[in-house]
Amino acid sequence: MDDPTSMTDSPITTVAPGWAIVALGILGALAVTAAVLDGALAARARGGPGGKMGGPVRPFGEAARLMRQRRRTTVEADRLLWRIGGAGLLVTAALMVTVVPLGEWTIFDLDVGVMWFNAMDVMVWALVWLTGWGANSAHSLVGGYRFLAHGLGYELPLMFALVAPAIAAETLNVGAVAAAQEGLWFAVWMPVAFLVYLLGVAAFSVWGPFAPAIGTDVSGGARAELSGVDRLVFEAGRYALLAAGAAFAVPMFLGGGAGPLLPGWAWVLVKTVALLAVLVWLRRRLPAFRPDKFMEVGWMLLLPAVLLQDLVVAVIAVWRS
Amino acid sequence: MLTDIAFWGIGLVAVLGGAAVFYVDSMARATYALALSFVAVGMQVLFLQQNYVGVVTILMMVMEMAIMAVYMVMFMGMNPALMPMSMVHSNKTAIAVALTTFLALATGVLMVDWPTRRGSPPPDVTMALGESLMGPKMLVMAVISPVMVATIVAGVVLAAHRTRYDRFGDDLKQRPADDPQPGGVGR
Amino acid sequence: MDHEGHEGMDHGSHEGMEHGSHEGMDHGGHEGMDHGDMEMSPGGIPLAEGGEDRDGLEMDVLQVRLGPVLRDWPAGLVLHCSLQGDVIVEAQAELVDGRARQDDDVVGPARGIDNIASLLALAGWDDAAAEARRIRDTALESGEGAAGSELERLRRRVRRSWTLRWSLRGVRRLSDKEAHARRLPADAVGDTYDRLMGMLDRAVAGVAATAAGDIGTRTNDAGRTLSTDHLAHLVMGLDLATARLVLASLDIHELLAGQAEHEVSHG
Repeated sequence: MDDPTSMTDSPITTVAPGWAIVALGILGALAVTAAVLDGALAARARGGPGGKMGGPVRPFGEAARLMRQRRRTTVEADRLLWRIGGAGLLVTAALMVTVVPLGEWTIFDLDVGVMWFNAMDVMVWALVWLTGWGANSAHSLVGGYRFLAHGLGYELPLMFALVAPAIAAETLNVGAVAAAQEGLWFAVWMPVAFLVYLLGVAAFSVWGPFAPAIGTDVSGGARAELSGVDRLVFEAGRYALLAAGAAFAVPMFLGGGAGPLLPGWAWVLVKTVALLAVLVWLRRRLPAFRPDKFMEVGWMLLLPAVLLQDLVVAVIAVWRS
Repeated sequence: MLTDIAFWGIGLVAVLGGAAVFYVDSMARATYALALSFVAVGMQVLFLQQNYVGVVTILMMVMEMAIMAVYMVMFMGMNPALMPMSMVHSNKTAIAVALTTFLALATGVLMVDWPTRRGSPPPDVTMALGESLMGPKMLVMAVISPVMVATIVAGVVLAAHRTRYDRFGDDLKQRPADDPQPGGVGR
Repeated sequence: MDHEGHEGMDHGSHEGMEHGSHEGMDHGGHEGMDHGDMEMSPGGIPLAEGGEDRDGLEMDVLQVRLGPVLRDWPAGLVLHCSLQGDVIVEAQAELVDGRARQDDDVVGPARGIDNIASLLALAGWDDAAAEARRIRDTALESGEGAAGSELERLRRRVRRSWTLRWSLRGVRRLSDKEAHARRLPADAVGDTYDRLMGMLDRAVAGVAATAAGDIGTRTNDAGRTLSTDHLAHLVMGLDLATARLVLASLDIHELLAGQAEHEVSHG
């Protein structure tokens, strides 16, 4: 990285800020795709489109229902923090995708894009906890703390998983990392980092096995008291985070826009949707990783595994140069 | 021009966020007011072209405040950590000390003869900053970090009242270990 | 999520604050702290009491009531819990509207399958829980015999999941002696995973027996009637979520109001 202040070393064109609207639209469409897919899979598990709002249209029915629902209030709720927590997830997901190049265009060609993404995913710690805290209810608070317990287990492995592609590409610029994978995707020769990254995406989206913070066993946890629009925004934020995480994996591990026939931007979308489908499907297959058990797995298995992966990648990178 | 306004605006957010820490009446609000203040500082650092330092500041401070909120609630010593409470004590002394310090520093800023710029900033300011901060002391820093981690681990080990004899029995042969909260890898 | 409306229903914990049971707790030691201009009971919520936690540090005690209406929870059971953090340090179980079983009540495997669905849902495996609920409906609508092959498939699926085994293994392990002392059925021995497997085995056997026309096994769930007396001890020292897993793993078909209902059990 010779010249981080200028954008010349990046193979990416920065588009006008106005295009952020389009990026938001794509993120929204991806989030809806994930929700529709989840609805369809849930209906299949239930055996038929149970009830009025079954199957793939369920997200729309849910959204309509929540928009009409009246807000529930609790005694002595800390409204400000509560609302910040609930709405923040969506904002965080939007900030994440600003550094993800769509083919050759990006909104924010930051030289430390990988760190930026990492900083945004840490925001989720604060936001989920605030959602749990704000409602002033026991189950809700327990949910918030459970998320932090998970966070202590997944965050360091996730950070070191992001380090591996950065070492191999010798840059923290997302576009340059994508460009460094000519011929061989990072997902292929750093599979441990890729898998740990995917776990991390599920975790910061409070998704599937990492959903104990909002689990049935704590009566809905952090979102127990969320209702109406607040709940809609919170759920939309989770899907958007999942979509943003999948989108970020494309330049980091799956070669960015590289691929035959189709243009770069189309490949990015295809790969994102494929990864998103895997993440959505994962939830069907796995029970919750209870935080008290996962903590040790994170520190004793995932962290050493991903550190070893970094070492291997570093040795290869030194040997190649 | 626009950049200048944004820079000063963010600076104002940082200062007001810092002030809010003492003004609000709840642990959570105080903690996250501090987090907001730090995020604003991190964004200011971004304006100084120190992208890496700025983003890392945001990352570390948000994470730290999330954890600190837990500890503040946990270690308040008195149970109303979850209740509205005043965030200040010994106000008068604190105000006096703060004002004196501010005046001393401000006087210093105004009195000192600031040098004019010689040469031009290097292309990679982050690298330059790192080298001027750490350059010859890199070895010391590299040694200090493992020592710090070891100190923390040792401190926790010494403070924990359960030992391996409690876990594994007197002959250290009891498996699985007797833990109040068993972990996930079956140690 | 199709059950939003039911989540978080149970927040009546604030009315039920009974501080009478905390005699001998140390209320001193708070003097001399700087309370500032703090209000002592904001919004009518009294301050939590402090108490020694399991590490010997002082920690708040919060009274939370679980039940009687809660998703995947034994109907009518109310558990008055004293929480430190999310750990239950003291509990007292009672039954709301304890009534004798009516003749037209659902008995037999469908009840067991319902309990399996609850446990799977609490373990965070929505898909398997949905499948179990579907099997239960099949068993109720088209006779229990029809559910046989599906139930067998669910059992295989659950058995194959090593993440579920990892998650439930070692949770509230009960020895023979303990199970006997608490007057739990003999198949409650083992940990929560063993109990889940037992539930599945019993459901499969029950469905097969019904299909074979053997009415005798249909009613052999008398042993699954538990008294509320023995539940509170089981969940003390566990966190809120684990406690719910443990209760669900007991495969309760019927609850009896215990004799010692108003006796507080100390951990």
